[in-house]
Amino acid sequence: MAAWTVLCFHNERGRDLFCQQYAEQPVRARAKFRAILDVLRDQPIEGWNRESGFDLIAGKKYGRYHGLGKLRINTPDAAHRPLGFFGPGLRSFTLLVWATERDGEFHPPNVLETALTRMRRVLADPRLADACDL
Amino acid sequence: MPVISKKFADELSNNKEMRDAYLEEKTRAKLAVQIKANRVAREWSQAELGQWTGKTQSNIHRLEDQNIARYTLTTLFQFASAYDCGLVVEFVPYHEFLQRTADLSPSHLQVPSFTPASLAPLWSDNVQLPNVDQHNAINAQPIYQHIENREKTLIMQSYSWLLLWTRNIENAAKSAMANLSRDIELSAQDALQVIQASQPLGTGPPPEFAISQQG
Repeated sequence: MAAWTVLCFHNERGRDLFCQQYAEQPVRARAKFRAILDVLRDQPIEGWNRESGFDLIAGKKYGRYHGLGKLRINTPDAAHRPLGFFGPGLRSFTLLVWATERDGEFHPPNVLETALTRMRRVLADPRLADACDL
Repeated sequence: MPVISKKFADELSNNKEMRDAYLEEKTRAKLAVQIKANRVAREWSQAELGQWTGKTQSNIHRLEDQNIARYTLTTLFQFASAYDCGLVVEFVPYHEFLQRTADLSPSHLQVPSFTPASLAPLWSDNVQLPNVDQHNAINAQPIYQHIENREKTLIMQSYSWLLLWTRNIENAAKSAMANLSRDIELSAQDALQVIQASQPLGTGPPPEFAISQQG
């Protein structure tokens, strides 16, 4: 049995916004995303590290976004960085938005704000984090 | 519990490119996690594993990172040698690949190092152990699915000792029975001779009774 439950951000109308983005990604990125998520699901918390394809958003520049994490999916065409956070319940991780990273900057430019807003909305209303339609 | 979601099954069914990419990424991810899980289980640092495999610490670090790791068969043989375990590289049906890579928890991916005792079930005719092969773990007895590395080794050793012990007891029992039979036979013959010497068979009390009456 998986150690973690992975959830996705849904809007108030129940649409899985993260999975909509997933479906638009290149095949290689989707395959690697699934493989990394499969690994992370079965790891203890200390196993959620860079080697397993996960990093917390950290550094002075990103102090405002404390609590967010990124999956590290490096493919030949791009560095994909799906963003999420630990919660809202115990042993759960919620995927918020699909981002990419280039030259140390996240894309689209407002994606960290989007993730932060969604995280706060989930914390205020945990029903917005629901089972992934993956 | 389902191995994959219906949606992912559809995605794999309808997209050959996805099947190929996922196979590659998942295999690489599993190898990276398994290499690390076995190093940690043996309480080795990356540098120590590097010494066993003839690689640098930074090389080991890269091979434990699923994003950048690239493996050759030679590399995998080196890790198998360092961990003193087996390595299975084979083509299997796609659904079997999904089943075999379903559980990536460290405890499931740890494999014990070789011990002579682990071979006992292979040459023994009498007793069969439950299947503890990691690659067939999905079909194994539930109790074996999450047993820690050292516990597996201990069980194998205990089993081997038990087997040898049982054989020793069996041999000792056979020998004792043979001796006992011979002793009983001799005792019976002795008793018969005593009885025959003291009384004609079937007349008067047994010798012991006669002695106690005299006393």
